[in-house]
Amino acid sequence: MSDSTTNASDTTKAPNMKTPGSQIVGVVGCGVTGSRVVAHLVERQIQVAVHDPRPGLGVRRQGVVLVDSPDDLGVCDVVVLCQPAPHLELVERLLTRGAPVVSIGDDLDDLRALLALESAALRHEVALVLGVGMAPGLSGLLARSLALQLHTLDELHVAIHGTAGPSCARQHHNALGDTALGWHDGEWIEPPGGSGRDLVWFPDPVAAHDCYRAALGDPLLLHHAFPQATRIAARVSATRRDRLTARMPMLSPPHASGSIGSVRVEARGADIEGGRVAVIAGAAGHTGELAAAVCAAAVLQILDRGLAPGVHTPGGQSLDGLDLLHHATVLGVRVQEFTGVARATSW
Amino acid sequence: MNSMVAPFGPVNSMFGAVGTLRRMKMLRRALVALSFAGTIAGVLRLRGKGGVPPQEGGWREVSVPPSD
Repeated sequence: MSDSTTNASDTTKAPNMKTPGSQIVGVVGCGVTGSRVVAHLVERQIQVAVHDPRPGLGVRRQGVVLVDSPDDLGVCDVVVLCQPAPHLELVERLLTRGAPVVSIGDDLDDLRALLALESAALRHEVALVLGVGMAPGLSGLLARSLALQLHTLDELHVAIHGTAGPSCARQHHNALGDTALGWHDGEWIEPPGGSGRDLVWFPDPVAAHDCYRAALGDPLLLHHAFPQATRIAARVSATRRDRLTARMPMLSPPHASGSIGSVRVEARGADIEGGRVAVIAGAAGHTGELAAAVCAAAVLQILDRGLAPGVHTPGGQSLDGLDLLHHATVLGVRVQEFTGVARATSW
Repeated sequence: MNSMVAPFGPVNSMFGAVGTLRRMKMLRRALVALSFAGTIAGVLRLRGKGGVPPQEGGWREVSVPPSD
């Protein structure tokens, strides 16, 4: 895996020297999040090629062409994967064709397999950026900004609320019924999904929700980006009905256009004098818009600066996390910080 | 001999029926107890304490400057 402690400027591949109008970005999956990514890119005069078996209204705009096969996108400057998991097979094919890939996938098993593609990415000299959505994605960028406020980082705790499109909702439903993943005192733990209740106060208008452990990708990617953290946990908000039905098929169909969502990241560590410090940041908004803003910001950074071959995650130092977060705010993300005193919880 | 044995036949079968009734009653009680235990465990698992919301402070929007 890429060395997350290496300075970005040392590893950056030569940027794409094409003019903005001549750059082509491929997008696979044009649903709630994908269509918003396309909108951000088209607004910035970037040509977009889309593959979607069932293209929606988001595709029908100037500067967008439809392709029949995702393999046709291998010639693009960057390919963004916004379709439901798994992404592994397509990523392998695109890497073989030498196309840099940005994936918003959050399926835990898929992310495990994708992280293992480091050697393939290096062999084909292409960059693969994983978990570039709301969580993982924005959560990693917030963690990076919080880590810079601490002298030493010990713990990262992520909580998420809301879903983007129907596929995202199904993914969250399955995650709650699956085995969770956490990094605890230097080893991986696998508590059951739906356990570890904690009341989390998200930024307005989401406010307080009970959150539980689930099969979320954040601990995996945050450990990749922050190997010094001794504890990393991720939780997702859920109601009693969600927990009760988590191991069954979804009883009611998910909302077609997603919902208001939020991500909250708490970093615990020490200040320069050794005192215990906890800093909290978050963001709230339409889940699809948050994810799309982070994804589009990552694509724009790759087109602008290039990116070293290998596997990258949003919280890692190989991506300029603060710049990415700045561009995400330009694209509509409102970053907030908690100004009160963080109290000890069951975490 | 036959007249001695014959009366015990129905008695044995009566004892057998009583034994079956006892077993059924015990099984029914066990099932009721298990269902009660399951219900109580379910309620406890679904309820529980959610914690205390923050009493002070709040969220404030921050600006993120571009990196150098």
